[in-house]
Amino acid sequence: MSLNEKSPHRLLVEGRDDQWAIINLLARHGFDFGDEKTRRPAQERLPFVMDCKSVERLLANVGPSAKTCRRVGLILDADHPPYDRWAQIRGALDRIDVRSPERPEAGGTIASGCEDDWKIGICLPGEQA
Amino acid sequence: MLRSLRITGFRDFERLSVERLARVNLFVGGNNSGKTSLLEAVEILLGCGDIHALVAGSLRRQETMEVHPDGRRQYTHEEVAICHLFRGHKLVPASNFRLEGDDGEPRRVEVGVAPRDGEPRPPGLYVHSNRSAEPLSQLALGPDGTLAYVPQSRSRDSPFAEQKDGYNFITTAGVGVGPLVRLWDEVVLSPDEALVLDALRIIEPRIARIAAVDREVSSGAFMLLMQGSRSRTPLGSMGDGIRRLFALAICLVRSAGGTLLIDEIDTGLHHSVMVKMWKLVVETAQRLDVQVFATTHSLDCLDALAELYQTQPTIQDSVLLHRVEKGRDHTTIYTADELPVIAESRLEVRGAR
Repeated sequence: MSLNEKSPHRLLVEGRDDQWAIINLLARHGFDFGDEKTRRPAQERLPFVMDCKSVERLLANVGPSAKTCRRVGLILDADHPPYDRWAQIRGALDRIDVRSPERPEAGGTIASGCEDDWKIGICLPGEQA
Repeated sequence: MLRSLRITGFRDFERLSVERLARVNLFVGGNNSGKTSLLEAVEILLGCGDIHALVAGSLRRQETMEVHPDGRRQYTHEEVAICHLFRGHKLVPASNFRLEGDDGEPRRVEVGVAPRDGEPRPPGLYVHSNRSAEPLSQLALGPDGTLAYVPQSRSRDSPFAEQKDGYNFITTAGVGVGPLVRLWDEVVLSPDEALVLDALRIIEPRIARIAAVDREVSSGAFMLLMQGSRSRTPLGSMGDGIRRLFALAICLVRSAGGTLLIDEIDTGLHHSVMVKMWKLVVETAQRLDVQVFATTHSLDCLDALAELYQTQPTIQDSVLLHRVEKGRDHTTIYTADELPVIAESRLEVRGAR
């Protein structure tokens, strides 16, 4: 199995466990990174699931990835209080001129900015807290 | 130093905005994305619409025809197909382009076709610059829309389009030995000689002296004397690309207080010397107040700039990376601290998303 780092889409994850959890989850839904038959037609759609090796490096990747890739997703562990996590995400978005509210909105937050066609959706578990 | 740039209707750009500029600006993008055109736009803007700056890009691209009225013997001038400067490569009554920048004060050059439809005068170009002694000038065009231009002496083989206006242009072909010898002649025994040596010592700290010794033999034109050595060393024996770095050092020094435009800065350089090349460019540009606009296709060149940032984070405010994309009306800007992340994550910042 090989991950396509040239994919126009990137999914940033904190570590190797998350990387393989996502890859296996996607495989169960028909996006099998290891199956050439599935991969070939879907290759353009499959994101490069990138093991950033730490939350700090994941957050440092947000700006450059957003400016370079067509779609970027990030998955962060829920091992911090939601408000602290929100502050980290806000900081990363602020560095690329994306303005987000001080507190996450109930039911998910949609932010925009930097580029006209950008939309950023953020969903935090327990975000109403 | 230009802080921003706007291009309208020039070559293939319908509109392009570069919102931020730093001391050293590196432009990446696919083939035909407009990187060289962007350098030419800066050249015309800094030249305040001067005819030499206006046609310099056309001469480099060979959008010209030599004129020999006396059979094939007597060369008199170039006929420049000026239409290529305008979008669609056509000269029609509405053709015009506008270049705007900000170096603390607004700077603007506008070039268009005159007269407009229905006016009786012969066709020509109007050139308007808010920084020129003559704000509005007219240039006559031939019946086929070409501009007659007599190159300045030296300009056909000089690396520089024009020196007097404070900007210099290094083409993808680099600087040949002949022009390099002439450039060296201009700096030798002047205060600039020491500055060139200082710049070169960033690459090789042991260099004591440089001399042009044999003007007929290209490979042996320059000799170096290293500290502690009694014998001289040919410049060419110092490794791949050293002549390109020598040329860069001279051109940086000759651009002090001005601007250096470098098309494909990595040309002829092995990846192992790229970090030193960037160290030379960034440190000399900072020290001598030079603004640099460079282009590259090379991932090694980007990685080297990232490596320089990791060893010298103080370059943070001096360096910006810009991606130019065909059809997009602004460049995507990456700051120096993002370069190591890009290199480590193998993000393809050069091509289309």
